[in-house]
Amino acid sequence: MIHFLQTLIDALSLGSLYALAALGIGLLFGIMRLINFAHGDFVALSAYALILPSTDVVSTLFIGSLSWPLLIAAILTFGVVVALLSNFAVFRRMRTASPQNLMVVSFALGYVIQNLIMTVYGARPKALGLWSSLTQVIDVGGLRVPLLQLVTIGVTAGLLLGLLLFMRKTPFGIQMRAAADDFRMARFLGVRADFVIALSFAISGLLAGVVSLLFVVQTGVLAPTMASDIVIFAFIATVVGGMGSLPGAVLGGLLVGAASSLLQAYLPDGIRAFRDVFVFLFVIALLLVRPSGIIRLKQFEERV
Amino acid sequence: MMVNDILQVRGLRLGYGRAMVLNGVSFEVPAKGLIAIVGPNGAGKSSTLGAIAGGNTVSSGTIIFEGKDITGAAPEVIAAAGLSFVPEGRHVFSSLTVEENLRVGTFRRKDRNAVEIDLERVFDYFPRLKERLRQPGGKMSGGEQQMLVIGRALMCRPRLVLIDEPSLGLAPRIVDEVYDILQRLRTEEGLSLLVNEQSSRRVMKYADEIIVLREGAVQLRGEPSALGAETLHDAYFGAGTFDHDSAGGTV
Amino acid sequence: MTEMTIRVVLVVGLYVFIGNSGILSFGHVSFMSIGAYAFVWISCCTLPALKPLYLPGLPIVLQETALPSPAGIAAAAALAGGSALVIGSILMRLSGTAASIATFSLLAGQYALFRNWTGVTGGTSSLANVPVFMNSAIGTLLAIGAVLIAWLHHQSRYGLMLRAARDEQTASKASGVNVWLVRTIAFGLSGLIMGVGGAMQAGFLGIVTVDAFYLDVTFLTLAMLIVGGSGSLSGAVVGVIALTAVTEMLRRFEVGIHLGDALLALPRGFQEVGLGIVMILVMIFRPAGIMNGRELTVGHFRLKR
Repeated sequence: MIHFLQTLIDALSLGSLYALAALGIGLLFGIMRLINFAHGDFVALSAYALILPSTDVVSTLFIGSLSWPLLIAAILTFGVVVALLSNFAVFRRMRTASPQNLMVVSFALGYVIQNLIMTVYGARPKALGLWSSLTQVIDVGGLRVPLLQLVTIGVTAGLLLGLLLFMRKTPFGIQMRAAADDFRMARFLGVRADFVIALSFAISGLLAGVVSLLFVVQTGVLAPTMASDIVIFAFIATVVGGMGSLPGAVLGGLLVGAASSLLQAYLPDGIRAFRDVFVFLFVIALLLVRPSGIIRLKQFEERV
Repeated sequence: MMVNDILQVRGLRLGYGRAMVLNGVSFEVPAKGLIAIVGPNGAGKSSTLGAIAGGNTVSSGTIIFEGKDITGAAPEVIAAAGLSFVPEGRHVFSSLTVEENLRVGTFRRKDRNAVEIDLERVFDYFPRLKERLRQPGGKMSGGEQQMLVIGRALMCRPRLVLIDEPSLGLAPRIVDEVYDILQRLRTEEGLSLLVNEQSSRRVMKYADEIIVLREGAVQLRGEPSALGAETLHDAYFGAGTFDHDSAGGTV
Repeated sequence: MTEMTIRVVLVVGLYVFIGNSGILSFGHVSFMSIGAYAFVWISCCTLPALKPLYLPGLPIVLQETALPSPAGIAAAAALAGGSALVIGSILMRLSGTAASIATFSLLAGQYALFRNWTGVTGGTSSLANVPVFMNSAIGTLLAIGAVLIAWLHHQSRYGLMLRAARDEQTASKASGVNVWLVRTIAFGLSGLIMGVGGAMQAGFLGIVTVDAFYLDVTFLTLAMLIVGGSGSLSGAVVGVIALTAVTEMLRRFEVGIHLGDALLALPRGFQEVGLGIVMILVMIFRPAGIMNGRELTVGHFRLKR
């Protein structure tokens, strides 16, 4: 029972991380049909901002040495700026492009960012101790839980609630939902295309910043490809949950996180190493049964 | 060309090469008037409205709204200038509630206080919308959706509204209701209207002027009372019964 | 030059499926990987005694074999083509974005599998001592072979029906085209070509690692296909040549060029960054690629029907 509860918390915190990343991807897909392969590189870049402006072999914190509210603000701002710059430099010029070309361009952008990081900081991972007090384990009625997992779950729950209120109650949120539903029609009603797209990039970048912080504290490592695993799972999560549906992205993230954690905990030793293989098989199987994900939206149904 | 024309369209061309959709279309909409464009499927009616609203790229020609050239402007700019467009197929935001649908177009308005008043006025015209305020837009019947999208367009406080095939897929009784409301909007709100219809029968009663569009060009225009049934038929289908086949062949 | 012939094979392999079907696949590098390892399983190693040490999980028969390279290439083609046919028959029930993401899952899953299947693939460590058979002549020969196969497929009724399904899915279905079948055939054939490409890579470098067949190659080969123009076979070849030229040029700059006494050198890593930027620019300014769906024509002879 204790083992199961512990696995459940593992699942929830891993799923939270995937859900946040999946939201960042799902948001842009909903608004502009962009499957953003560069999202992981937004995450990595935000994480590297912790050691700006030093490029030394030993990582020295600069932004990372600020007091925590400032640090959080700085990293999140950085994530937002990176996303907005990407929009401004690249995606804004591709408004009429096909989803396929958008996907390829985001792939290329990610490649550029990743290699820029390597050029500046080298390919070798850097150790980085940030908020190590969060990694301590606390005892809750016989259950030994890393504090960070609780923080991750809490932060995710808070962000989801905030985002939900933003999308439901504010003029910006309603305009974004209208644009995700029918972009052309929203423009005919005066919703500014540039603004809505920039706003979704900004939120996506903000979410990337949050993921980068949680992830760096958890692993204590910076690497140019640090986020590629998370993002691969996040992709899968957006598809599993239903392309373009934000609740779907969250659901998919939690589901994929749960699947990995449960497989990790309960697969026999001999094949535990193949956990990811099972996760991906599961995804393919799910796509075969429900090609448009768990939550289907009519505007994304593929015509047959 | 009259001074009190709210919209002037001059030599509108759309498409390129042999695939010309519009071939120099000109007309105007007088202030507080109701103009109807009729014509068969593929005549270029929807393209005309889409081009005026900024949704289609114009090859040449000019579109002047309230004295300002809006040719090639972005749809959101045109909407903010006071010209609303209700496209064919209604395009209700199905995941938004009825109220949210109505409010989408109001967020850029400066007169925040007037928004609530306008909302009440829309309910006045379309009482059924008020009963369904919290319902998702996608869950409504065709007639209700048509009322919703007209109401939604009104919430932008336009002076001219373009409506593409308001009667499409609606029961005749509902169509009458829609047209009665459009008529009221003209007289009570001073709204100007430009409406597309496939069939001229319905709009004959309401329109100030009928424009017959076929093969991307204006074939005939005039007041409904001045147009005989036969001239209208010829303009609509192509003149002369014997010519019919060859005319049809070029479509 | 030899490297370029490998890329031609890979990109042409991609073209057979992506170009004709219009479905973006992220998973074809999996078949390149399968091909490379099939080559290792059959033809490794130059020192036969090493094989049982490297790959204790292989069946004993294979542990003791080290057949000549052509057998290895044939095995690569057969295994990659066969698995592509089987996997394709499953995945081709999907279309559009779902299919693309499924191929992406395929790549990630296959990578995870090979990375952890230590007894059979060596896991994360690299396998050296793979027989080197590639030179520019053999490479060119294989590349021409790949182009020829792709062209024959393109001209065949299967290619024709596949493109019909790409352009007008509903209409082609209505006129009796079995979309699933023609897509699966292309998927299998393209996997086969990718497998040969994998064997070429193995037989060129003499070293095989799992990491060599993941996102980087996927990106590079897709970049070449799309920059050249995925709508035509010439586009695939032109893309390889264009991006290889760009990479070469950037590599020169990285090494440094002499201007009088000064050595101008771009920072390391600029090659990749530059490649990415070129690709973005092509997508912005020429969305259908350099060839824009057209084929190169030689006199009155046209590749495309």
